[in-house]
Amino acid sequence: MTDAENEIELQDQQFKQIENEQKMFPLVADRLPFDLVILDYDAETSPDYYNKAKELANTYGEIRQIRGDGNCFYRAVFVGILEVCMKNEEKAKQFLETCLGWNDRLLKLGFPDWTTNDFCEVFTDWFKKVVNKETTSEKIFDDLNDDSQSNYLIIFMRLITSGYLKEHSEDYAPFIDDGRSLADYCSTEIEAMWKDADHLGISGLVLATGYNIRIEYMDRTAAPNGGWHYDIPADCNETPEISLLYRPGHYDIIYHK
Amino acid sequence: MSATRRLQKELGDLKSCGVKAYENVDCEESNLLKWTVLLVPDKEPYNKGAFKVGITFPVDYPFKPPKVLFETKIYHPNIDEEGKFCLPIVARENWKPATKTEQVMMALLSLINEPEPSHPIRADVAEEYQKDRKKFLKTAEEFTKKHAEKRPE
Repeated sequence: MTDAENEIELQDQQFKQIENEQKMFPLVADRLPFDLVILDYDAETSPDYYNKAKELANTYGEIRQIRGDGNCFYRAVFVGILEVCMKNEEKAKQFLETCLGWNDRLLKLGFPDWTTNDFCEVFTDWFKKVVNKETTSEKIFDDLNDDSQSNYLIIFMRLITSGYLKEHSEDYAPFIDDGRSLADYCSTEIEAMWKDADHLGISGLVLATGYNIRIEYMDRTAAPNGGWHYDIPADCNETPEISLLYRPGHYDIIYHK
Repeated sequence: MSATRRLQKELGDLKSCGVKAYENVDCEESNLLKWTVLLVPDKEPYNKGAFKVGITFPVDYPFKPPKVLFETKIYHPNIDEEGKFCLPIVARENWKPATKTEQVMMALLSLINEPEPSHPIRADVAEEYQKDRKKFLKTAEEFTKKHAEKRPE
């Protein structure tokens, strides 16, 4: 084997190992008491995090952890929307309309029709069953935890995020600072799986889905007074229905008491 | 498995695409994840034969790239003796779920037709290609005649 091949082989093994470690956690865990977050931190060695967790525990009663595989932001938001839709038929229908509409919006933007239609159809066929109550909550969460099924749900979220950014390219292009075009950025950062969402991804997904979110930052720099959160979009008037907890590099869903 | 649906569509499309260079596709009926495609390049020195490539799709296709390997021996700066090669479009870090197998085959054909001696996998062949094109063409053509598959009518 050549050095280059050896390196590829080695990289493959490393990726496999990381993947296996990730797969020890469910893609979408059950809802658990928020107090678990407090237990993650030691009052003596990391008082900032510990105190922030205790403070958040006054507001939030439960947490649903999401696997840290680079898709966590997209997955967390999607599961949040899904839970809203499972409780509210009107909102479910409305979200289905939004998603059905995205198929044409994506084609209009020049997304390749063949694969785009496939991704959209798999997603909307699946979501229709949720809307029409042709599935159970148990089956929904089984699907969410099935890699091949949930990959299709995630790619749809990624495509509409990319679609929204491209529809508003004049607003977003200036934020890409390494000389890449917005199309390049979307292609490598948004439309590719297992790539973390940055602020463009966050904004794009929120606006593409029409669901506002609140992000609580478990991060000393982002929460200087211990009590900061961000609502996205920043000008939304109501308290968002979906809340996420951000810990450096990772998002989970949290639920108000 | 959602991959099945996509693979069935892709297989049907590829078989009926009408492009002679890669329309010959075989797939075991019991295993949709394994295909063999006969590549028919049209440029010297590879236009004297055809080349079989095996494609293995992962169960989480299209979210992970397929593995593609030459089953027919080929004398080429970018393809090694075991049939391995580097093609950015199917590299893990570049892979996009929207990429179709047909695009992969097109990329592979253009790699066969236009070797890239600056990124060789076989340094000796690349050197010959750059320094003694005549000798390279002769060796590659003889190699093709000896090892490659018959071109379809």
